[in-house]
Amino acid sequence: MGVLTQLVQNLRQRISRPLQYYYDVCVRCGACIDACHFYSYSRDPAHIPAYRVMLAKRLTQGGNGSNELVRWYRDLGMLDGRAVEELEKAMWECTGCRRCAVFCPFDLDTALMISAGRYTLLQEGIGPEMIAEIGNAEVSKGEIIDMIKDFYLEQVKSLEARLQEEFASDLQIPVEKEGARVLYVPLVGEHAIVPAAKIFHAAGEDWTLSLFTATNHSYFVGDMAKAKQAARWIVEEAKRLGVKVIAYPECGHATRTLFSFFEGWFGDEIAGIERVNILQLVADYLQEGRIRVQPGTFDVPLTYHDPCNLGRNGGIFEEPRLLIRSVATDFRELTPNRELNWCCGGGGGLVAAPEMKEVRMKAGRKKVEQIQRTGAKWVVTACENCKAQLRDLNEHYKLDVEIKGVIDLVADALVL
Amino acid sequence: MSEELTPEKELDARGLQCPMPVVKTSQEIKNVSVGGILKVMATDPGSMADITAWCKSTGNELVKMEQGEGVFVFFIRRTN
Repeated sequence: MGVLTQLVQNLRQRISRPLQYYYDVCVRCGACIDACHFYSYSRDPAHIPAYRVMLAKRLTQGGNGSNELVRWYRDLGMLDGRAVEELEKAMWECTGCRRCAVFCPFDLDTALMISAGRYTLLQEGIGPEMIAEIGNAEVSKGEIIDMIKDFYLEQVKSLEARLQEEFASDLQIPVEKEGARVLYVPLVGEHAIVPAAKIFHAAGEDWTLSLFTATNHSYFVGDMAKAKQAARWIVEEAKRLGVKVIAYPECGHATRTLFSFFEGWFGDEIAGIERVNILQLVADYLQEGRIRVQPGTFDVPLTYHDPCNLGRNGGIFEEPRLLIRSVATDFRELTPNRELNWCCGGGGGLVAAPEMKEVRMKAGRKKVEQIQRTGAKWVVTACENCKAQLRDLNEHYKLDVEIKGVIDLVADALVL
Repeated sequence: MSEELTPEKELDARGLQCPMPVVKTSQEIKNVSVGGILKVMATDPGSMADITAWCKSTGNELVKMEQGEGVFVFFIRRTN
């Protein structure tokens, strides 16, 4: 069985009702064309959002249940490879930023097609398997947690001791604290724990640090069963500890799973557990007077990049701006911004795929131009994926900027 | 070090943050023959959990892990 035939069979199984609706409703009006940062540099039809959907439709739909187009492709033989190549480009050279959806008069969600397409392609080994591999490891982490827990606790204790010396002698980093109000799920690495721990301490928050990390690479490759399993470890931890709030870190795609998928995946299991991003928590602390910051701590010209999955896809626009303005004197907006902001070009897991580097750099040109127009020296954002891409863009295009996190700024301006 | 842990390849992933130690490990293990050992050095404390979990999910064998002076050293046997 040819790759294309197998692909079509697999893809058909992923055609949900919303996807079928998108297939049927899209009239290829072209409103999405100039919304795509990939198409903006390539002018390649495979990067046009409506065409990406059309490609999949062409493959999966035939007359009277048969698939004449596929048969035609297959019979011609030589076109098989070309069709797969085009589909590969359409599905993988996309960051799932959903900027195209903002411009669609029918609100069609290209990212849903991309998700199904990616999953299907990877079944045939087409695409950056590395992203799926990291996703698999995230699932496995829950299975080996008892093996690595002691080591993790030891690392946290050592970090706590260092922060007690450097920041506040009574600072604590609780782990597995039953009855804590907030379960904070970090990223791998202390950079996602240190500023949060300082802010929680300053706010007097009753919190506990998760044994897991929020990232979910299975989501990037459309493997929703594994994405759910990786998230399940966190939900089980939250339930075991009896927390009231799950707080996710500065990570866009993870926050998108928390906001858009947890309810569908876990239903009643998470009823009564509030789900927030750390920016929302910290903005609340500031507005409620639970933390104080030194206004004007930073006078360097700086800008804020709205991560697609926090802003456009998560509705978090004002919290980061409130926090940045509370500590900085020269805040400059990117144009456009908020829901129309350009993607950094590294989303959709592409920063974890070494073979995508060249494409990422091209897809980041719009972002580079935006940053250059502001004259900012710092680019502040709230997504690990964006930070990694912005660092690469900074080096590649010699932007001479520094990349910062929103909560890094707040933590550095805290007044105890 | 016993003879069987003599690495066929070494990977210096020091200074790299998640998920790059795993990404580099996954790339480099392909250059090791089946049954051979890849030695990985990393400084990110998260690499301990990440590489252990990656070994479990890929089926490669984490033969040994050492810690010292802020460096984590992994000996991974390629199994497939």
